[in-house]
Amino acid sequence: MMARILRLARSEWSRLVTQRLFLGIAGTAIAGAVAIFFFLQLESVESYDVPRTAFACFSEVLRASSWILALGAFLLGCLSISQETSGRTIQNTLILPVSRTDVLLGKALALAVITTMLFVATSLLALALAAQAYDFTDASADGYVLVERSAMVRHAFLGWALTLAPLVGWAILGLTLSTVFRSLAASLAAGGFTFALLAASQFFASDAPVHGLLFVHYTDRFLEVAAGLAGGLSDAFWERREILLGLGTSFVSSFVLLIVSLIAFRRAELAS
Amino acid sequence: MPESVIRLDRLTKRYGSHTAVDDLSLCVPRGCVFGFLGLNGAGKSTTIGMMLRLLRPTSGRVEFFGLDLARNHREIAARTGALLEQPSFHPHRSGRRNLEMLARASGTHERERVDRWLDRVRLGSAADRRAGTYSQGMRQALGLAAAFLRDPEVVVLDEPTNSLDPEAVQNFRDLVRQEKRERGTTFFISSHLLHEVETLCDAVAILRDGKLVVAGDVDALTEPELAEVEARVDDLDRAERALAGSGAALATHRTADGGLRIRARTDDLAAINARLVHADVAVSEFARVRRTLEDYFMTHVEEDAP
Repeated sequence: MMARILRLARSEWSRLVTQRLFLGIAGTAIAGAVAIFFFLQLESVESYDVPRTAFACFSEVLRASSWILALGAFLLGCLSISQETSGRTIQNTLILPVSRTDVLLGKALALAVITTMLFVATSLLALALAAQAYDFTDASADGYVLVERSAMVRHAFLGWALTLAPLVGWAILGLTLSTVFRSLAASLAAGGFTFALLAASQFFASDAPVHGLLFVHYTDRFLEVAAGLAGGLSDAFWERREILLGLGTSFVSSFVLLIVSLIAFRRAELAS
Repeated sequence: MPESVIRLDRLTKRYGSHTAVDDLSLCVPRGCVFGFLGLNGAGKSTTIGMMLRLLRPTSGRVEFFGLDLARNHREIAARTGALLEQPSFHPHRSGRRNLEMLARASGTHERERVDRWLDRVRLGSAADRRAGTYSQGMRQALGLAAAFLRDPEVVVLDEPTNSLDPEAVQNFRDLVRQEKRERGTTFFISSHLLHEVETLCDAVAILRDGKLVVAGDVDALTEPELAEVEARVDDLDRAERALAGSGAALATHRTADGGLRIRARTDDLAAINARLVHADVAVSEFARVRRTLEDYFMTHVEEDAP
């Protein structure tokens, strides 16, 4: 079964990366990272409370561009089924000796790989920009070392690694909506509605349990904490509970969404 | 009795109150080229959708090779090829790349095989062009190549000659005959082109409003006990008088071009000819009018249509 999923993932990967949309998302993420970097360099951004260190800059640039990546991954997820259904190319795959479960898991795997690839590319760019502007030294003030370099590396890259889980969750959310609605417009509308609902719940009830129960929240949160820690802020710290909750909700949400996709895809009538 | 490789057992598909396919049962023997006929909206593509598991039957079952499709989809699909009506391919990939990805996804990728089938459907010179630039006929040819790519035992084709030019249609016929002859491949071909089906198929089933009207060998449908002959005679009046009340000719009528159309039992045709000669009618032509599948279809499907 794994061999079949890998073959289908390779096919889906090849299909998605040959799309102009993929290049658009990659370009937007990279342009966004550069724009945020230069924004952080402006002297007028005085109120910004993250100290100027290379690791903090890396996390801050990545934090902003990760939202672009999240929306890009969501869009690619939306396209993975809806585009193939409307173009009737999905039928070519479904008449092959593969099960629908294989097809959907292949698509999910391809989306996870593409999201990771885009995130790594943006991260390398963010790292290069940070190295250009700041030194990878200890954070210090008045002759005292606030945070050692080794600790900053650990925090920055822990935040980076943790962020990947909610990012993949975005791609799976797109895949799920696309499988349920089988139309790009309906998937995007449902995605926008979901996001608006989450934003509203976060805005009106920031202390409510929903605040920390969905992976959307952690798309930003992990890198926010990483930037603060890597910058040497004393009031930002990793709570083990928050890491576990963030990773747990990301994985559980993605898993539940994948199950919903599988049920919807297996029941779908996909003849023209 | 020949082994059935495809069996539809009381297959039914309903959409709300509309019944697209109604209690359809069919058997297709191994090595047979089976035509599946019907007017537009008769339920042909819906039936094929259920046979390829793109649609779920409301009730009934589909069997290939004696295996239930619902439980053995992968095994059946590995031995089956299919072409759907107006096939679509990824427009940004070349025709070759599309085939390679389909072959790879099904675990049978061999470059030589892909090239062979591209040449066989005469797409070799356009194989590296993006599929988005293909004409409908070229996409149809690419779909045919995809259907045959895994050397299937059974090929299900939905309107396979749509958009093909006459040369490509002839190539398609040759391909079907060659595959049947050399590999014993079974074909299930849905079409509304009656001449095409009659030329190619050994047996047919005719569907109307989702229901099976008739199924049988093409020869049996087009060569019934009753036949028609068209005679050229020197005196139409005398010929009609000679046949009237003979009991051999069931009906006669004059054709617009001066001929005499005689309807009779096949066994009585020789007696009719003799009676005309005995009545001193000079018969310059006495030709049996072959009943085509189209005649049968017009009689049993279109005339009965509500």
